[in-house]
Amino acid sequence: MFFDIPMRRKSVMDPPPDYDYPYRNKHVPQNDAAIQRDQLMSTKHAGGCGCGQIEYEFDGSPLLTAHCHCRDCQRSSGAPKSTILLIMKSSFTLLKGEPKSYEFKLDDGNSTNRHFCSTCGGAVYSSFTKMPEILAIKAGSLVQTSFVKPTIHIWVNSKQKWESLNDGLPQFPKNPPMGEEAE
Amino acid sequence: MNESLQSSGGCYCGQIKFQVKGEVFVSTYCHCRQCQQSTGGAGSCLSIFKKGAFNVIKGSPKEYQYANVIGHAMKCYFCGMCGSQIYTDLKNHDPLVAIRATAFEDPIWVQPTNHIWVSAKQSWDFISDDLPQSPEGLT
Repeated sequence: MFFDIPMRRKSVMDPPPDYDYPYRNKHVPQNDAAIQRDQLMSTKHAGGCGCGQIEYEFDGSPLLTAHCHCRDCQRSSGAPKSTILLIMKSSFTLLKGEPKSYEFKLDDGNSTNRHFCSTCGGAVYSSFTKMPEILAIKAGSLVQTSFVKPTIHIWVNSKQKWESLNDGLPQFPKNPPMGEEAE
Repeated sequence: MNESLQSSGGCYCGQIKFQVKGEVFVSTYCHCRQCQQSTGGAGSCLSIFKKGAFNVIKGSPKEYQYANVIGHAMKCYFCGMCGSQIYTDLKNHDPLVAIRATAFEDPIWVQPTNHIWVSAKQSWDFISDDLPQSPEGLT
């Protein structure tokens, strides 16, 4: 875009003045002007946990945004699904705090490390031994989430029976085919 | 559907186990910002029980205290080891306890009947059922 002027914040602690900060126990409706500016001009996205001990930012658009219905996501979050944004690890910066992590073993021998805040338990991101260069940001941990656009449902075969999915997005029984598996 | 049931659950790593024996008061989807932040998703599904029906039978979950948007003191509990969310004490609805539905081993009996805190719902969180929606919490 020709007007794609980099206008980046120095840190997540320094939001622009017209930015409605939906952070720390607030759920104020987000300011339209700020959302538009973020969508058009900024490629940095900030997030953290609920208590504020952990803060991160990443640069660029997510590779994939998905609703995950796997039992491990359900187990760890206590919610029927989690919404994740896959990003390159190289675009991710941890600005504050050190999340605790726990290794969730998968059936195929790989594992998922789930990183969360040890103070408030907020889920922040996951990393995968199978895809070490990728991180999965938990959408609920983002400060400004209007850019989030989930495109698929994954691990639908472990979806809870009482959860209805009629949003028209494609559904995959397990992981979607990726890399060399995709034909 | 308020029949008496016995069900157990816990965290992923097995440090925390709990049991409920009694009636489900209500099961509800919650879209509040705290549920979004603690689960990392669009919200959670809570099964609400009377406190007497709920027992932690193994381990002691870590406590996190916060005030919700309308100023009620809330305490949520999670496993300090694996970070699994377990339950929330509803201080404004004492003596009720809101258990995360998917923390149960087999949450097949869960029947969500409404959506709460829809005012805080994210734009990408698409509600695809016809359950009643309330902008705020349970009354």
